[in-house]
Amino acid sequence: MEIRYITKIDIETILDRHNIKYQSICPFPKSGQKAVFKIICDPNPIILKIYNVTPYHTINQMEYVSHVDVDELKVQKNEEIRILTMIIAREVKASKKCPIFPKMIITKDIDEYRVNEHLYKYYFEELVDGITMNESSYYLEENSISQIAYFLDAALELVKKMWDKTYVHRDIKPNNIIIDGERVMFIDPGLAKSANDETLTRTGMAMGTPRYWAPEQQEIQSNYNWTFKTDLYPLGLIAIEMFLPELRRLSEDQLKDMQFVYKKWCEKDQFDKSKSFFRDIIVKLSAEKIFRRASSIEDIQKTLVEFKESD
Amino acid sequence: MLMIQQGPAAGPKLKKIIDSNFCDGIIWDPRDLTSSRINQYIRENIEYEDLVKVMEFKQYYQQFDNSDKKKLKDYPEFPKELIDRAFLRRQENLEELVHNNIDFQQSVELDYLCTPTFYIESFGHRIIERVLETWQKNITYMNSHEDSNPLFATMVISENAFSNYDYINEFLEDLEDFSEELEGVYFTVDRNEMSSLRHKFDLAHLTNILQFIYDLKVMGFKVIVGYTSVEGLLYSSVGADYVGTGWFYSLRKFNRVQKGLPPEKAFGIQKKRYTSIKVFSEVPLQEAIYNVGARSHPIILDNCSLDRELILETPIDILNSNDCYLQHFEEMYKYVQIFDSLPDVSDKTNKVLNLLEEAETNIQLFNNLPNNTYTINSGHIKQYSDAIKSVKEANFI
Repeated sequence: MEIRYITKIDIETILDRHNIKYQSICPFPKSGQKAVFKIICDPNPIILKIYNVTPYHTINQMEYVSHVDVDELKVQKNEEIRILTMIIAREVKASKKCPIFPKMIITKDIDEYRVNEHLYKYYFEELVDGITMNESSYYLEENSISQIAYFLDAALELVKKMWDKTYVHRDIKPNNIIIDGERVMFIDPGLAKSANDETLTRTGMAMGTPRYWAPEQQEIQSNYNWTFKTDLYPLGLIAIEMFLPELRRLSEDQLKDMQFVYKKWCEKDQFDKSKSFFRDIIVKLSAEKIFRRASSIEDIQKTLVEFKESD
Repeated sequence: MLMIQQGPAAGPKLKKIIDSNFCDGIIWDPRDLTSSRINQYIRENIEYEDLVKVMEFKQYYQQFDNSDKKKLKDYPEFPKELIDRAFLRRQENLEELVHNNIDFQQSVELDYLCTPTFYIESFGHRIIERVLETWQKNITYMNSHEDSNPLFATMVISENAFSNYDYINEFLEDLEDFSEELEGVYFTVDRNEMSSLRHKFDLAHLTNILQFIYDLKVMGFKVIVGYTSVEGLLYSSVGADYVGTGWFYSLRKFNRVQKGLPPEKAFGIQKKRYTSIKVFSEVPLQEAIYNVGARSHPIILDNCSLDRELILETPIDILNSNDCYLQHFEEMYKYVQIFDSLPDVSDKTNKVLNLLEEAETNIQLFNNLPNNTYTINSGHIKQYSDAIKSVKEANFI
């Protein structure tokens, strides 16, 4: 059975179900099982997120098996659907619990949409004003230490708010950061994990973009005690890319090699202020060993104050 | 900050140091002073009120069969059984150790409480699990008794444990779980070599000790390092909040053998020494100052109260030993205060490197004085300097 991608007719059917009269539909770049659309409608534009949760793997496997146990097939299909639904379920749960994420609208829960054997789950979300970080001036222009300090302070405030609700995003990357003037927001909490959640055992699914992942995310650990420190790690890497844009073209290994990065950092700026920013901020966000990262978000924000005024 | 590492023959020495205001705190040793005697000291001198007071119950003496426990064995709270694997396997033993340890510390007015102290040969040994378990029990016990006193995880660590950082990394990962509940870590390094070169250090060990202190500080712990000499300034430079030092050599360099067997018998009469950061060493007064005469003064003497006697060439036998011990505190306190006043670890480590560079020059100058037969060993200066540079490089300082 081939993967079936969402069509305009599917979207119109879904919108019709909820009596939404649209003016236009703009697709965002597709990623994995998720398709996201911006729906221009009255009174305000909204976001429609659709996840393909069809159990292709189980269905395709059964094509090659002559004798099929119907009950077993049903159990396997349901299990695959459950796993594929995990990310959308997490995303919705996080948006309900954490005030920093865009709010779910129109429906109270995730809805289903079927086309023959193809199964999709979807929900609507408020549209957040702004642009993703990699389209913003933070990524298109050269940044000073002071500008980076302002960005980090705002981003750390979000990490703090998530952690207040015991949430860890685990997939902070430029694509998941929205910039609106001075306002910074995180989106797509599909990998967000609450310290109170049930254990997630990874199943080999591709989750997120490893470039910004912390070392502890790259090992399969079923009962890992996640803390905000995992969210500090990508912020340090993003700050490095803001200061040294040429590193965006280099490999993940080079970006995460702090001795290599420090050399480049000092080549760009030899001033003590810049070096102490690297030591007191970057390393405390992106140290390979988790115990070397800052143990308090407030403390690192306090340290940032002096750098905000540094230019 | 500088703490007195209290040890034997404390009476007049304590009074001199405290009256001279050459320290910020004191680490009481109940092996040599009973709690009632400690309380008497505190009652009799108002100066104690302003000092940070800690007392280590030294349960690790019970990890060694033939150790000299002195007064420890007389306390009902001190463990009676040998602390070995069998002992540590029983949960009720750990609980008793914790309760007794807290009860004992409550007999003295203290600012920081210590966990029971274990001797750690290696961070890879299984005892680490028991140590962490004991700390957890200590925290639980204090919470259940609504005791909010700041608690320090306390241990004596063999210098060999610092030969490789892999196990230390694992230990620090575990320690992270305690960062909310523990105020800090108080540790003493058991210097396992008995070199006649008193300041000599293995470079890898020293580098890892400095990294350990730096990491503990990054993790938000307060750090006390016990039983130090001039290398205590290196510890201060990478972030140690307090370093402990004492009057006798055995209180400035912890050694397990020495601790079990009384040092007086093993080493005979102590030489009177002068601690000079100008040469980053404790030099023997007779050989380095008296025999060399006035030419040694500008190189070694560092503006301490004792200098007057030395310049006047007061016969060495007339010099009061306690005044020589006081000079050590005066010199150490002066420099620890300089480090405390510097704003960050970069300034502190740069300062210590400058001091070491000056010391190297001064030692060269001293050793090349005409007709001088005594040589100040400078081997440790390079070790200290290399260790600090390694830590600076590894941590972008």
